[in-house]
Amino acid sequence: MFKQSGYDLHRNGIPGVRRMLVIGPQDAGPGCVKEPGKIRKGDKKMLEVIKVSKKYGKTLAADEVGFTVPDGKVGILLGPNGAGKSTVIKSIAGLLRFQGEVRIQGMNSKTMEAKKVFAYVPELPFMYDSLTVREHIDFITRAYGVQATEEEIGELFERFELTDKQQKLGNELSKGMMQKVSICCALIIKPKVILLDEPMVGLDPAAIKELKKVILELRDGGCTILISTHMLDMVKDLWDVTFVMNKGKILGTYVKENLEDKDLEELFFQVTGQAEHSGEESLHTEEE
Amino acid sequence: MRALLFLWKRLWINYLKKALRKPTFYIYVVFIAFYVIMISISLQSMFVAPDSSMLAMILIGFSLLTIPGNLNSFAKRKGLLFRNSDIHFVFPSPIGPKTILVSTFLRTLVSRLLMCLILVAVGIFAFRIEVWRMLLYGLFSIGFQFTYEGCLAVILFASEKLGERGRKWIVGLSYGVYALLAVIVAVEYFRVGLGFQLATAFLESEALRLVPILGWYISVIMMIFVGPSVVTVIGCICYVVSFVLLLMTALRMQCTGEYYEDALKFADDYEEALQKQKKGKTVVAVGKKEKYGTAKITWKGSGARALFYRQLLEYKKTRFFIFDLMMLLHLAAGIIIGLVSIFDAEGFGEVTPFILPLVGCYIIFIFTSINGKWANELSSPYTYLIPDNTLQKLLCVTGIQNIKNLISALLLMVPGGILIGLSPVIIVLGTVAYTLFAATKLYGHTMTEVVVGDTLGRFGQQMLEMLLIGLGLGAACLSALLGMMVSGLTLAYVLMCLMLFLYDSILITVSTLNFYHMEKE
Repeated sequence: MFKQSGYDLHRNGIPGVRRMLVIGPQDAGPGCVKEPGKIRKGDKKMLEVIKVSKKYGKTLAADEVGFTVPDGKVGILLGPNGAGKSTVIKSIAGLLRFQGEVRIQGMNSKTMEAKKVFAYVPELPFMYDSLTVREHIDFITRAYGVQATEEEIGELFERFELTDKQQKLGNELSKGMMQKVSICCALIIKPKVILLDEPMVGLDPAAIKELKKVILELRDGGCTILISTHMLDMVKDLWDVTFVMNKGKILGTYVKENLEDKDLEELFFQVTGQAEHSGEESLHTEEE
Repeated sequence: MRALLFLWKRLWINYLKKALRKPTFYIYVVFIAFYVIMISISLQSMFVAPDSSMLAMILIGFSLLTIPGNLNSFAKRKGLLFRNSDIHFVFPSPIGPKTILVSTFLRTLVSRLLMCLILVAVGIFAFRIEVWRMLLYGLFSIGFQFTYEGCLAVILFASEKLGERGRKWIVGLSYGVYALLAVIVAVEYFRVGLGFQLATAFLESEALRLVPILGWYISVIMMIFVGPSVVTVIGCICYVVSFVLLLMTALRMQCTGEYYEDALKFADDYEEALQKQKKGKTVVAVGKKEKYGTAKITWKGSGARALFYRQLLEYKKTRFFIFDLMMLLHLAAGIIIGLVSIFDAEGFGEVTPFILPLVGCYIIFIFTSINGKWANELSSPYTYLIPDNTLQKLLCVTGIQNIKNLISALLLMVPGGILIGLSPVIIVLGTVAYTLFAATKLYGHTMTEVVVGDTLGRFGQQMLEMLLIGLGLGAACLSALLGMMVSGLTLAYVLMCLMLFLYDSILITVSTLNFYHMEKE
């Protein structure tokens, strides 16, 4: 059997798998860790996804997905469309029924204690139509029971250029503005674990730059971050550990420091077997 | 809960502030106040003596529609209105899933209070029922029945032990309640026969008061408005016992938020339905997705014709092609009118030759809305980008809708006309007149979009649409009258068709302006 990070390639029958140039334990390629649940000894497991499975009718959207993002690390969840990323993300956020377990700081994600330290930025922001930007923040601070000073709120609005938009109602905002409010709401609770689903979609370049800075600051402050994205260029400077998903399974877990100069995009195409263009087909057909 | 109360308070305050800035809000208020006053006056003239049993019958009739329906939807984890913004901000927050459920249910309290106040006022002033009795009803309705329904909602939504099968059982049970009601109706039918007395006998039936949940509620209503009887007292005891049991179960029940997934789906479906409604389309059932099969068409021509063929392809993929419920309604209306004219000695009197187009106009005016695939074209950029002239675009976009209208007209006019005994020429002219009037509504809508766009809001658009349709109808009626005076029925129909054709041509000409820019004034 040919296994990579717990993924049974023969059983799952990805076309051309035997000829695939795989980065992982079999070819002693760098970066891939054997067990997704274990990054390194001594790492605190801030966000643990343990054997999460989810079925929609007869379709298995997530099949025993397991990974861990340690303390103060940025994890990236990668995968092509329909890979099951959204299912995993929504399961972590507690929005779906699933089998398995998600632990935040060692606590079951469904407990109130876990929710208090967990923030979620969904892919599509949905504002309350008749709530102002400021009132969204006020509601979140009450819901999470956090104390946020005027200075903190002001600084956050300043960073995301929302200072003059504070009195705007939810239905008066553009998609990009909504995304900024959504990010601010997630940050105001001072989370220990934050989940960002395609956070850069709809943001202007200045906001993307600011968000990247915020993510690094959060990481340096010990916060655990999981980002699900397709925009590989946007996260190439941010990531510490990457989980590549396809067809509802984790194909591999990759730690940046083990990969040396390997590009995230290149890694993605290699692992998923997707060729960006014909020139890269050769990567997958070593024996042909 | 404090956070949710804050949210609720702010949402209402901002909503009211926003509404008070809109002139349509005041129009609505005047309209509703006028409506309530008129109904009260007409009811007051109907009931000179106190009539508490009549109000009880109305309330019971209303509960027959709502209580089993609520039970059904709660068991399916539907019926509570979660919005996408709740899913985004509230569900992941450290607020207990049961608290979220309760607060969502409490959102209906305002409308319930309003409804209760109106009922109490109507009971006192229109039905002349004693004040204490109506206040007792108000207290029961808000204090107990609202809590009772809340407990049911919490138990059925929050229960994580019930499972898929358990839920199906409860859904089946709600249908069982309807079956039980049907049995009671059948028994009463054999006892009292068909007529208004059947409705009274059914609503006053003692068996009805023993139907679980629904019947127990009815018992309390009967106790308040009519007084005690053995069965009523038994029903009331059952109500109180079930109230206590449900409350205790709801309070003790564990809930980790498994219902979030269903709420997520419902919120998506609701948002979609809301968007449709904003565009003026009718939403029959939230969450019902149309199923599409496979189909092929032969594309002919180019330019705007592509829009026509694309619509045709979409219709071919649907289960019933271009046929819909409205067409069945037309067929039923045609047959019923025909049968009435045969079996009723008085028939429709002098209106008989025009009764079918008149009923058709009523259906178009009241029932039809801006449905159909053509309505989507106005919001599609391709409609504006396709290189063709605007008249061609308008006609191609609305082509299938006109064909559908013609089919409806045939279904109404042919069987109805034959049964009434109209000549083939009049049936044909009547079909044309109906199709042209349906087109008046259609192009009245497109013209409204050109003239007012979004400036007056949906309400303003509807008013203008009604005015345009009313003008068309008035002109057609005058033409028919003139034709009748000058020659007879045939000329009346011919003039009516001509007038509608001319009127539609004007609407079409103005509507073509709609296809220059996607942006409306």
